[in-house]
Amino acid sequence: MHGAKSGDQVAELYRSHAPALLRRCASIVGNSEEARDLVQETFARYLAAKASWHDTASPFAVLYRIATNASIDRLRRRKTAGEDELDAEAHVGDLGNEPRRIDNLRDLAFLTKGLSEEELTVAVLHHLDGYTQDGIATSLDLSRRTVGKILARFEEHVKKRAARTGFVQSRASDV
Amino acid sequence: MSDRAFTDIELERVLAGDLAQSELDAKATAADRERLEALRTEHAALMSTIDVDAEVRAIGRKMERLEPEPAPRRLASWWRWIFTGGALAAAAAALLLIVVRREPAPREDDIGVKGDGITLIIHTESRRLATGDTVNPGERIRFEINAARKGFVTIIGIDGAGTKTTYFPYGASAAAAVDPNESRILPGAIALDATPGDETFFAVYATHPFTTDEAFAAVARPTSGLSSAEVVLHKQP
Repeated sequence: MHGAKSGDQVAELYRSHAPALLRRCASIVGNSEEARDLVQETFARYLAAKASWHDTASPFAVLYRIATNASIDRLRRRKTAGEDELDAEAHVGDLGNEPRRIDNLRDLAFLTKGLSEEELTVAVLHHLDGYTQDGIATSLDLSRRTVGKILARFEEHVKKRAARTGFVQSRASDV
Repeated sequence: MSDRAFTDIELERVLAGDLAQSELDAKATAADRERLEALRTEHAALMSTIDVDAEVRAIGRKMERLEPEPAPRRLASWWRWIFTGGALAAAAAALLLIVVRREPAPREDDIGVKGDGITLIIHTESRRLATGDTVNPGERIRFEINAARKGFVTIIGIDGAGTKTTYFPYGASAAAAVDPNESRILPGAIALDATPGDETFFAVYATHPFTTDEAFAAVARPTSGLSSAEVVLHKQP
């Protein structure tokens, strides 16, 4: 194992944080097995880059950002009919797999390529999960002003990317 | 959630020990406490199906395969290309075969592609390019794709002005049949011209024949049966 953390420390971190991350990943990719793989990837990335995190950064917030980014990235890689259907039976979490959410996830995955993990996480929470800016700020230890700036940058990014690719939304969506 | 003072994420932070219980105790509503208990139960159920030691070993294996983070992506406007064939393409192919053999340990994407997805890698004679990389006028590039099984592939590009180009098969109106198990490097090479700017390259794949018009539509809006991968490059003036 890389880094200063021993196997026991990693196991402890996994036990305390993995459940929330499993819920998060499953709510995006719709499949509990794939969510488990994504959580492994999340911890691997977090531990490999741990030295670069600020000492004050909340491990939860960092892991949550990595997990959200990894899940959206996984959606981008499987833009095919057979793989795009979310697995309702395997679904875990409270976010639902209704058609509108699936459409919005597809659109978001397409439009957000190139955003940072923090920007992507804030955008997903706001546009997909319905979090208010205040809710995002308190959940991720960000200031309300920072959340507002991130969402403004996100909207600008989406406009440019949509214009560059000729993106067309086929359904009404608030993304 | 109007009767809640805490979001689900905050409650999960409490369960993870990342947020002090005292913060919750001071402000939590009855609905918060009910939701906290529901999440605690759900978390316990999730963890009851998982062998933590096995997960830790899997995390270690994934760390071994991690590469340094790529440079931040550059977003900008882009460029134009000219297509060259014949001897130039053959020369580029020979050079690239050498380059590919000198590649470092492959990323996970290179090892295999699940389902009907596709990956796209762009090579010059001397390096492998990723989104955000800068290239120079005169550099020649080739395309490498990977897919789980035989199918049909086209490489298309859209520059900053919205100009659309089909690079593979060059100028064609339909995707070409490919077998990634035989060769992942596509035939033909592209030489960059001197016009600066950005361009997004897409590899579009399906297990059935499709037209390049369908490919351009698919990258504008995810389409059933077609999958895609993309690389955005920046060309210096």
